[in-house]
Amino acid sequence: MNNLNLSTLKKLEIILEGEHQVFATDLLERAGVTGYTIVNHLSGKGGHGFHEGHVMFNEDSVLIMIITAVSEELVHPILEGFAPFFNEHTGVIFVSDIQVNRLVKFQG
Amino acid sequence: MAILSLLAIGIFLPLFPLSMVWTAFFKYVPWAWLRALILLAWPQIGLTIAFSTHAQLPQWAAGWGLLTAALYALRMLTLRDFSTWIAFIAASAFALLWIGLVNGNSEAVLRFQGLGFSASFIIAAAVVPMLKNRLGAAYGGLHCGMVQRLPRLAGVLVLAVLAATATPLFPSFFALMAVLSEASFMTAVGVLMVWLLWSWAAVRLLQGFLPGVWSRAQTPPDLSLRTTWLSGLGLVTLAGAATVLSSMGFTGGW
Amino acid sequence: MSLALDRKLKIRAMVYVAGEPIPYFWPMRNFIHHNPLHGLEKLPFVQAVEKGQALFHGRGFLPRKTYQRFLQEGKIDRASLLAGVQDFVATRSSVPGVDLSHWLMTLLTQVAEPLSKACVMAGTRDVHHALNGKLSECASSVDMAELSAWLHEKVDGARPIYEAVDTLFGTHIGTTLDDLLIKSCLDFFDEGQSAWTMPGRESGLFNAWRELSRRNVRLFLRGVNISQILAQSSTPEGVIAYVMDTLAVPEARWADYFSRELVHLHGWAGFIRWRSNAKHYYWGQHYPADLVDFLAVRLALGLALLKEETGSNVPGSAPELAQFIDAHTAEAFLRYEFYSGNVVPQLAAKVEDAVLRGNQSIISHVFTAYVERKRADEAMLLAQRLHAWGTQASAAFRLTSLSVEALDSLLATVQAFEQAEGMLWLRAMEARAMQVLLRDLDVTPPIPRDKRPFAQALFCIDTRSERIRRQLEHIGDYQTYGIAGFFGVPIGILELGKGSETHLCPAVVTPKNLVLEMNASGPVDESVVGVFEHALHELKNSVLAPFAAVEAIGLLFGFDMIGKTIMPLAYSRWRRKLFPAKQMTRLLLDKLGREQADSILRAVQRAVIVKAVEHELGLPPERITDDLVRQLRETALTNQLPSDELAHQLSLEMAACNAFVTRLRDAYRINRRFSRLQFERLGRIGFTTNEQAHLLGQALRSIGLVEHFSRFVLLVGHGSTSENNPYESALDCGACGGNSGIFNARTLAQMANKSEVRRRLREQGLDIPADVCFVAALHNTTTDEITILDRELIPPAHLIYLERLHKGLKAASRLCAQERMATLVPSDTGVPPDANASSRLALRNASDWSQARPEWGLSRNAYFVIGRRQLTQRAGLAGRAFLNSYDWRVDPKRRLLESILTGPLVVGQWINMEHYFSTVDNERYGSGNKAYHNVAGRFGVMTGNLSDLRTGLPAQTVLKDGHPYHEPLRLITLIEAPFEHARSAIEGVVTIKRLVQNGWIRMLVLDPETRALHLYDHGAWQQVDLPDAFVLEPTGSD
Repeated sequence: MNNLNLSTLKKLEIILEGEHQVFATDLLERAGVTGYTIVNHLSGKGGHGFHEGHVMFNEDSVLIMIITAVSEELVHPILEGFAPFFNEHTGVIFVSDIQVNRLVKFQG
Repeated sequence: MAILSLLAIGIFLPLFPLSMVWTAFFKYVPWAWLRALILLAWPQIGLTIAFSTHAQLPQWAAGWGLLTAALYALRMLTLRDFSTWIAFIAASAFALLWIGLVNGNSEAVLRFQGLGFSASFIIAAAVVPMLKNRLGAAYGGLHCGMVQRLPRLAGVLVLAVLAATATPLFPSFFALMAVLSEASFMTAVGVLMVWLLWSWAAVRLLQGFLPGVWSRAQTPPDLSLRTTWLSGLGLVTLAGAATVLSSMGFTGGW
Repeated sequence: MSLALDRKLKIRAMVYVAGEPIPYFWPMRNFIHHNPLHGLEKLPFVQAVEKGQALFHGRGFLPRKTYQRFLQEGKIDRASLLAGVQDFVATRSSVPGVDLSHWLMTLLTQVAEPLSKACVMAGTRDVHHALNGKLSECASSVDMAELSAWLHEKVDGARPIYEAVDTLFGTHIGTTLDDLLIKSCLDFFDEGQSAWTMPGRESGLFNAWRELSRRNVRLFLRGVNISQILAQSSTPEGVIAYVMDTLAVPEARWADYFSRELVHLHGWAGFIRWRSNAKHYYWGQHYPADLVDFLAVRLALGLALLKEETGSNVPGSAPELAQFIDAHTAEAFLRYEFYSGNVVPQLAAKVEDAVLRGNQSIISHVFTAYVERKRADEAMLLAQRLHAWGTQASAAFRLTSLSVEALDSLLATVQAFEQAEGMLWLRAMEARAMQVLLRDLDVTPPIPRDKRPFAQALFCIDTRSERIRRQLEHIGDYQTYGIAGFFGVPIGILELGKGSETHLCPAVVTPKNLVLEMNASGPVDESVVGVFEHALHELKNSVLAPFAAVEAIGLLFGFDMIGKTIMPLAYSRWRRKLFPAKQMTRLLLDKLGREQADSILRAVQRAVIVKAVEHELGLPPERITDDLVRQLRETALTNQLPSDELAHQLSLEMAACNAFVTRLRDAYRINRRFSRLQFERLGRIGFTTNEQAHLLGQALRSIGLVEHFSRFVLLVGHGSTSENNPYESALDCGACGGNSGIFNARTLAQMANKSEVRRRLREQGLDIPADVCFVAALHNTTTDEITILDRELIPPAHLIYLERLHKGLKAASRLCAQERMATLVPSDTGVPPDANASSRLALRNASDWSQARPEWGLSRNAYFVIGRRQLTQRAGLAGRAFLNSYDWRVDPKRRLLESILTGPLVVGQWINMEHYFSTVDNERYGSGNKAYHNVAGRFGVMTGNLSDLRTGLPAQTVLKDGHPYHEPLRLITLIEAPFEHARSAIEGVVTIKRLVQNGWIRMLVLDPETRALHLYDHGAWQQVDLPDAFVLEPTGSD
């Protein structure tokens, strides 16, 4: 138990339409994020109605979630950066406090 | 006395800055027939004064005339108003007469030169009312695409402009040849530069009328067939007459 | 000076959002039909069209004169037009003494030009005076504040600053900027066309351009001082921020500003957008560029050019511009009028003079005179037009009796009407089209057949298949079905002799399986080698050959040109004889076993080593023994040092041998890591038997063909042939990503003929009898020939029936060509060509390099029918319908219907919208006249020698003699299924739901059980009857 060295970070969960995946990951990389996880085929409800989850022919109209852990000083720039995007598109960003082991993995 | 007669001639065979009298006068004359008359008479008056007073004309007047011609030719490049354009090219052409005048050409030859230029400009001036009636103003850049909608008028306009800018076989061409034949080498180069500027200005003017897409809602009626034939006939006659007359030796050395 | 991170990211996001309305531009090698307003599809149709007009300056509807002509030709339903007018009138207040319905209907159908061009100076009172002949009573004063506000809207707005300066000062910053930018783009994005390439491209568009522009002589000669701007920041975001701050544009307007900047060259911007998102595009990976780079370059150049012009009275930033308009309103107005070309002609010279001199007193003098004249002119013109209109409506006298308020109301109504008239015409046109479709539908329940048809044929849903299907059914006992052109089998194909993979599936799908085309006259190993060998061979030849060739055989090329021009058909036939016919090939589509893959890999590596030894060391063949090769291979793969024996065999010193082995590992990639990669790639080849059974079953069930199979089941893919046509990919199959459907057909046929596959299907309940033979075929849509492929795979027992099949196909081809040629010949030739002449003409079109219109392609598409063939069997739809076979009875869970909706219907909508917008405004949304096109960089076309990349379809595809040939209307979709079934399917597919709700497609559902027809209109489903003469009732505001 003693070698659990937990450090505090912020977790960002970004939910948006699949067709914007390349844009979102590119923006995160330019912000200096070391890595991210993408969860596919989400369904959900928002201001625009219900989104179905399964992929048919068209891979663009499903929702995805990008999860990434960043240090506190990156949160504001990333939120600012995504602001113009979310003014026009469906989606949300959740910010939460988390703790991680192996901080070195999350530092650039 | 010499100064006065020089000044007087300088008004009628336009020398800058006296040429401003000519351009202003031309602009404010309202009737087309009066304009044609002035175009015909103006250089002739100048020549009459010159020969009646037997004035001793200084050598530099020829150079000054050439400079005036070049100045107006240059200024013509950005003109869009057709009437003003004619006034300017007339000023430019009449100024060239100084070269022959100073070199002591015979009266007949000089008068022929003057007539040659005037005749061509009258043709151009005749097109102005045609444009004004149909388009509201003879102003380039407002009615692009005439080729599409008013082909006959476009054709007559092109021929008129070509006639004014000394294209063979119109009268002004022979007049210009006459000027060139009497000029020294450097003067001739200058005259050719002026001629080049005229043709450039002609293209720029036509650019404002002919090409493009017609963007106005209404299309005015084109020239009637009769008018087109008459104009064509007039042009051909003029060209023929000029050719014949020049071959009869009225162009000096040619 | 570096930019804060949050600002940098914000700018990137703003540019992304700004670029969204701009549609992608796919390289034309694989032309994709798409909706030019795809980025605006989340808006309702009318709003999207308006926004498109604001952004792209493109019309959303045809001019009234064209619609009037359509009305005369009977293509528009007059009754529904009248109903639309009446509905509009009901929403407006009435005008005393004027029968609005009658008047507006007259305006629509008898007055050629729209009435309400916005009046700048004249107000309603002035028009009233003019109507009553009292023009002199017009007011002479001008409300300067109002004028100032009007100018702000016209000039300021969210337009780029240099655009405003161009408008007010007659400069040409815009065109110069476009030219410079296009030249830079052509340099950077070149894909192997030029010999001298731009240096430094690997560092990205902005960086490469930045390096060059510091030393750019062209810019220097113009006096454009770009270095000062570039010195401010080394990143594109930094430059963007600097420029925008210099221009003092408020940050809230940045996204809009960027949008308007990008839209100027929307072809290039669309191409860059596509390229930065394309995952496997070679050029994109090596020479990266994205919209932020592009915008940074544009803004920097724009500011540099603007600074040149900025002087004492020319504003150089947003606040300065606003101040200029406020402080010198009169001058600004005169300037605007003059440079926009709207100036009153009689005063043009005066205005020019005043504006150029800049003397304030002259300006105010001219302004007063001008305003008075303009007001009078406008009032007079409008009064004349109103009078003419009134005369047409036989009630002109009413106009003079109107009061000023009534006239005001009338003018406002006319203005609102003319804004909404486009939709009225469109709906009326669609109403007529729906009538034509529904009139000939066959809703009787299917009669069970006693014997199976002679042959069944599966065609692509493409509209061109409709003609040939009809003819085929007509001449014999054939049953046809419509299925998406890739037959539900998305594959990547590696053709014989080609070095790269082509995706044969719709653009939105990525294929997971690879299929190889193999030479049939050899064992498997060799032909795989053949591909690599061929690629190496070609590479060697292509560098040297052209130089020698032109000298030696230049004359032959002249001969070629003459032959192609004078007698295209005969010449192309003769040329084909010179070259050997394509070899017999087979498709490898079964998964490779592990040993097989291993063996292939070994064989390839051996062949490469042999080539390497020959090439590098020059050893003769007899000295390159198998043993030597094996040793070399093992040494390279296991990272060992070469043995002495090996060096001796190669006659090399140890050091040289070492170097050679290292070269094998690096340059020729005989190493472990690459072997693993290759092994994985080999694993992508083919389908498992289960997958094959699944795909076949899905394809058959989706079209409802599950029993009563014929002896022959034809899978007919389609492709086109044309010469000298940059749009040739647009004529191929869209479902196959702009390629021919030949390989998909062959793949599915090969799969379907396997007994193992059929056995698995039988277990699932789909029984295909043993004597059914699936045959692949190709329909050439230019010549209408249907060619049977892989004939040697047809079992002997079927060969006796092949003769009859051939005859049937040939007859159908000729009849179809005859029907089609009648539309292609000029309209004034009297008698349409007979069958022989038509065939010849069709063949000639395919080989004539001067033919700008080898076939009409998908023009005149209007309908998308999802249902059984019997529904449309009696209807002659003249090649206007996408026909997708579907039987709702075998699709209880709606999965198949949903997959048709989300795939083929979306593709159909893209095609339909592409044709719609290219027809209504061919100059803006289409690509203009083909005759002026020049291919740029091998991926697009420009008009003339320097222009934006042209998007959309050329004039020759959608117009005939200057008049629209394609009738622009929204896709009319008809689903034959029970209403709830269809409705749930539509709701379940988000894309289609949005398209239907926003009015991008018209949706009809025909319920076969209740025989009721449902139409989605005005946000709700309405039930309508199905009589013979069918009339819809639109209410004018959709």
